[in-house]
Amino acid sequence: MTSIARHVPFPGATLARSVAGPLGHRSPITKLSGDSGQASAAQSLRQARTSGMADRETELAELLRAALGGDQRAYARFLRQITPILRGIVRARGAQFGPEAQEDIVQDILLSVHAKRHTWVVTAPVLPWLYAITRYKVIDAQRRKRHRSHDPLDPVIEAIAAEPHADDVTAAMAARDSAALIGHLDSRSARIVRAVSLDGDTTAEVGQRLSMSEGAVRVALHRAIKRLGAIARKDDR
Amino acid sequence: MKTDDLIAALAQDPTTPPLRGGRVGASVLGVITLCVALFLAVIGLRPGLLTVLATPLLAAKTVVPLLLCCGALVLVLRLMRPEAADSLRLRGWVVPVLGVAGLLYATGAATRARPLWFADVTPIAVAECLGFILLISLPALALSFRLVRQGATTAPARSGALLGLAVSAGATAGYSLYCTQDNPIFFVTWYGVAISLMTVLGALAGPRLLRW
Repeated sequence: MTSIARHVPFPGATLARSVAGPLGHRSPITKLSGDSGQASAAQSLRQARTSGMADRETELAELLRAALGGDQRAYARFLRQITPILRGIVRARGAQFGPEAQEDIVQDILLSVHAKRHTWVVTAPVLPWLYAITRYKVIDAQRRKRHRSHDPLDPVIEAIAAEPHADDVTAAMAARDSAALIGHLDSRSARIVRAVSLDGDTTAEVGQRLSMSEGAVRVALHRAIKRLGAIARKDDR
Repeated sequence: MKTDDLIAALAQDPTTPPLRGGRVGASVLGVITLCVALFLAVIGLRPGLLTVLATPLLAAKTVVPLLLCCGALVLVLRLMRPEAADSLRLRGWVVPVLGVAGLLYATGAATRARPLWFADVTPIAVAECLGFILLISLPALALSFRLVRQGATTAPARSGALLGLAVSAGATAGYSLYCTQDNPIFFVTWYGVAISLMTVLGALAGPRLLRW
């Protein structure tokens, strides 16, 4: 994936990037440029002083604003800063999950935040937006756990892994099922799933072949497997 | 995959343009208009439409569903933001909608002799009314769901119900330009049934089609 041309839709984004130093003790007023209005800047400064929560809000909002303006470093920083917050919420609300499953949920939330980042209104507070997504995904995970005792992804992955043993009738059937499932994916995702899961290629090799970064291949694979799980779930309903 | 790797990979993705509720709303209205226009192009407008629209009671056949469509659509668009579900209050909308329906019923009852109240209710008339409204609504709803999927509703059943309501109310407003059933007792009932059916359908489809 190539880095995109940075067009900065508003002056704040540039400034936020330039002051993006280590966290804390950054006065919001220095980051808000003239067009945002002095009143609101002063207000957010007051809020930031009164509580750490407001500080976190201002900081995250700024990072995400810069990220949506095309600043990848601000975006990575935003995601890194929300991760402990998400872990805390998932631990508190999803006590029935083991640590590994909790981390999976955290990753799922990160993917959702990423996929739905365009739904944040840049002038609205970012924390309520983030909490709403988190709550929705935690409830989603709980519902899935309640609906089936085992992970719906497992049979798909097992079926894909089982293809080489073509003499085994059930494995062959399952493999045909998974081939049919893969058929539901778009062609790029299908190629990635086939290469990694069936042919045993590494993500780096696949990335080279499709001229994608290794990370991008992993994200695509992660998403494709999620989608396969969703399709499998729909099928056996 | 390690969470740090995931973050690094996600940060490399190109940015996406912000969600524009107004644009989605305009597209939904466009989809409804298109389906209505196709229907009317085939079947034609009712005769003397302009005179009819100048009569307040009959103009209500078009105007009330149209308002309902716009009101519900605004709520659908608001719900496309994940944090909106917490602050959404639907109860306040029920009373005015039922109030307008009741008012139309009362007018119909007052201006007609009692034996004529239900004179128009024939199976064919009911089937025509319900069938055509559903015929216009179904493709419009299917297309509208695709548009609303861009959002991130955390109340998919409510979003789906409101979308079903908005689309079918819009379809009803369009259908009323053809419909010659001018007895409020008839049209409020059957328009209402058609819209309710689509609202329920939307509520059932929402959790499937709007999940993310």
